[in-house]
Amino acid sequence: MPTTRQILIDPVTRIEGHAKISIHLDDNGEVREARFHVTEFRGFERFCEGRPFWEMPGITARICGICPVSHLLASAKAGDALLSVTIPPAAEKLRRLMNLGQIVQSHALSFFHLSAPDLLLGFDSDPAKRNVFGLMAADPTLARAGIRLRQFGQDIIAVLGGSKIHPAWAVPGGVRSAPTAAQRAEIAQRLPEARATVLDVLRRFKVLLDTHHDEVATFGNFPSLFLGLVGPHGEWEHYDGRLRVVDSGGAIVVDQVDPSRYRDIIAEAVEPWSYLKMPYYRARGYPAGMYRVGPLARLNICTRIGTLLADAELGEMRQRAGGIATSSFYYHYARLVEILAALERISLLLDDPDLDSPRLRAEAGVNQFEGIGVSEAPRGTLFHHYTVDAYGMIQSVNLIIATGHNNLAMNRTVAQIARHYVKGDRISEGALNRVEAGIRAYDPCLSCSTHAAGMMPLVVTLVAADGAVLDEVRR
Amino acid sequence: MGKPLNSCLVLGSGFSQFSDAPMLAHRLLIIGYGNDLRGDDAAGRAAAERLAALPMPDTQVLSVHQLMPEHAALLAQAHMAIFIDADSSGCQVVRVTHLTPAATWSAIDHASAPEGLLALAAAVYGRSPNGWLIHIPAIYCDLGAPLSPQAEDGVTEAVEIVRHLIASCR
Repeated sequence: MPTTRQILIDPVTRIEGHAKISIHLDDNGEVREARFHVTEFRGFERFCEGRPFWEMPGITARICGICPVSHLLASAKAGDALLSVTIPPAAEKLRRLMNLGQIVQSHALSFFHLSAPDLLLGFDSDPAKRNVFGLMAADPTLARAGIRLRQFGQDIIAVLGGSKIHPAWAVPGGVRSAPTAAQRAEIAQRLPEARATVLDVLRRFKVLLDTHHDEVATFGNFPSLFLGLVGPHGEWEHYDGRLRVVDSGGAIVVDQVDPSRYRDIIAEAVEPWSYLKMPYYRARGYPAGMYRVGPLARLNICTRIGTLLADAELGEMRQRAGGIATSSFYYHYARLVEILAALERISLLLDDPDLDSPRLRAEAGVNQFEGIGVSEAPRGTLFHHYTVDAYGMIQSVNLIIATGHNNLAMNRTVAQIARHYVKGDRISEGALNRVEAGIRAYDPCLSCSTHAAGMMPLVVTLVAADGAVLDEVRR
Repeated sequence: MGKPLNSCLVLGSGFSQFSDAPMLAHRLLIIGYGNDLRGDDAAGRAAAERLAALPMPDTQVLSVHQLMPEHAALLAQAHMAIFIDADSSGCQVVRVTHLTPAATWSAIDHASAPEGLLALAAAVYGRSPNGWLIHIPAIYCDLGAPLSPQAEDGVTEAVEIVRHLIASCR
């Protein structure tokens, strides 16, 4: 009888939350498939039912400690839809400003604290030193600059929201407050340093790209669709806009889809081995409709960014990738380009006279019973879909998070890396780290909703080549 | 109750908090962390919020969702740091651990201990405080649950432990 062997990597280190990976081998010891498991059941959607929708931005922002702003904004936008209001221009621009700060801090965390040790110190370097401390020892100036860059993004959020972690600042209809002129000047004063940091790191990354051909070729390098928001002319978007899907050849599959019609193009599948849903492009079915979201997708789908330095970098990135970047190794590159884009957009927004307006919030009651809010979180497109009753009490909630969108692609990425680096039934340190790094390229956020996640059952499954479950351990 | 006399509860603030210029001597930093939507997971935060209402000179108290890299800047300014966290290991008593800076970056994961942040403070800013971790037993971490009676007791005990710890170290 044919059998299969399974290699478990549990947990994946240096990603937000908890997960495990299983790599399934066939009779010949070759990798048959790999699965990225999410074992913590979240349950937020059910938890929110029966609550006033006004509370949703504050509640959903507490889903996660690393991207609260993303949930805050998507939730507030769903609230705008329930009110049926167009929010004041100042409110929209301030929300954009906060989202740009979020992109800077989140991308900086991903690059400098999580991925840079692999990239700059080497995947095969001493594991004891392949971390932010090793980076500090090897290049303290760079490491400090990375920390300050993240602080800068966090400080923008703090100045706007009054709280870095869960700023219940964006509300249905607008925002609660605006920064003072002095606070805007303080942000502006720090922009040159932040810009210099990211330009320096971009220069270094491009050098590194020339020496990592193997990783570029094997870290999730496959055809897929790419999905995200774009502006009316296809320009880079991070807060509003409409949905566009592009294929690996650069062809636009669908464009300018109203985000409130997301279900026309996105369907969700579930697998028994993961709590994370698996969205796919509906027209191509499951799993052929696999798509990627996030910084790489946003740069692949847009016609241009719309700022000088970032557009120049986007042009060079496309030249290096030969057009659409199909390797997920390019997520790192895209993150750096997006930090630069965010800094340039922040600079423009700070000078916008609309920010001086005292009109920050549209007042209304419930005018729609269904509201959908969509924005671009650092990791990808985030959907909040609520239905309410006449009193504004939540009847149902559906959240599609960026990590979910990328679920199919992450599995495919792990399998591809494992086929290249895992030989026999042993995993070398270098192979182990590359498998984990392949996941980290997507910067998944599996919700640090509790560090008591150990209370949730962990299931380890041994699967035969014919699909029979040989063993299952639950603890 | 009136305002805290000398201690200050910070749920987040502006630029000054993350200044790149450490070295404010004799400063005590208390950080309670956890998810306040998840029952006993919020025990550390509850303890921090109670401590913030007490008169403690030259003390900064933070109540946060999770530890972040920029907390290293605050640690570098502190003479002593006390972390308060929920503990789901099954231990039934409040525990106190003296922390040794550890050069791993596991601290950025929520499940990890704060030793990495102490090490980061030392590595980046050249200084790391005397660090302690108070573990409060966590029994129920369900969404929307209040603190369990056991966790409530743990919070009360943790507050007393912190007060004694401060007194003994000053």
